[in-house]
Amino acid sequence: MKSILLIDDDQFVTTLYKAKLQSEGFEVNAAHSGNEALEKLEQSRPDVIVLDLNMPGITGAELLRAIRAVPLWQHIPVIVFSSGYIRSLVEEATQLGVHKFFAKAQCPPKMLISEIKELFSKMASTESHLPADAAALPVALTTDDLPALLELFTASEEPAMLHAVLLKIYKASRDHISRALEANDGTVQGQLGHALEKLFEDLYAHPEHITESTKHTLAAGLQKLGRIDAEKSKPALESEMALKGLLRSLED
Amino acid sequence: MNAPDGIDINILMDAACHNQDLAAGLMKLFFELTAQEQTRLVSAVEQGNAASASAISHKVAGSCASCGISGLAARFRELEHLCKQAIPDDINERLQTISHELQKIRLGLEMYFNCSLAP
Repeated sequence: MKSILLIDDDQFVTTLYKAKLQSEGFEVNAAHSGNEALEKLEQSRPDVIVLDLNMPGITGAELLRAIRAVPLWQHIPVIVFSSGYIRSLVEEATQLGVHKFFAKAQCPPKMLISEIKELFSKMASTESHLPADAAALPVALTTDDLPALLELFTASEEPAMLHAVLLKIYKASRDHISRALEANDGTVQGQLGHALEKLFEDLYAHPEHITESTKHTLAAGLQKLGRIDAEKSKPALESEMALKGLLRSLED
Repeated sequence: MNAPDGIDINILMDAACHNQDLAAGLMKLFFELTAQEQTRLVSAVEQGNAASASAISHKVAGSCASCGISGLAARFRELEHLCKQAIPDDINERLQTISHELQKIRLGLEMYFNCSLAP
């Protein structure tokens, strides 16, 4: 289910749009301040953000700057939905990358919803072919190949090269990520798996935007996932070894 | 039942997925929150805080526009712009007109939905 984060200090507006968007089959979260929005983003990455610019405390533009600074969130499409035109805020938001601006006064709910649907349909048509491309890659790769691949990824700069290495990293890390995705969403492993899956998709779709910081985030995430995976399989391995030892002693 | 004055009922019903109970619930929330904002607006005016009065007007204008109350949205937007300079001399008349219009819309909607929307 596609998810939307509505950010507006006006509780009436979020209640109204939440009800409407949920009835259209979207998963909707609402935040009434910049800080609350950042907390919600930490909990789960939405597919689209609908953002009011003029909020007390952290303004919409400041929040957008913070969102764009985080690799995992930097490609989330943002629709600005504001009741006033504050030139400085609009200019700042434009520079940070906004999919579309809507003025509340000129935009009945159905107009915003139709834009969101159109955006999702565009996203679906240009969605990353990463899983299919990885499956078609005629090389067998395992988690043992990850350190060398990550080293190559960190050293690469050309988008084409980064794109090719990323595909191999994705294939090599499939075991870790698949296990994480099967894990409960509430676990660190599950959340990390979902976050890395999104990051892979974003980076594969936009290799030209890969920065040192994104490289570091991906590498650190995969290393952490690898450690969690190893920790989780430890008891199983230990009990398997204990069982083998017991069987050997029985045979003797 | 005739559509009440001052609100585009199609926009409201569309926003409420054509669910009458949801529409009534949304409008009850609207009047509750708007009453709180009106109190804050009066207080900002009394303190001569034009920036705060402008910000509150901006917020209520957005709420009004979202549920089809375009006439009042325009009044709040005008007040927002005026308060960016200074609190206008005729602020009391403006606030009275706004209160009167809000009440008229609420009564019209109460007839339409056949329930109380009082905050």
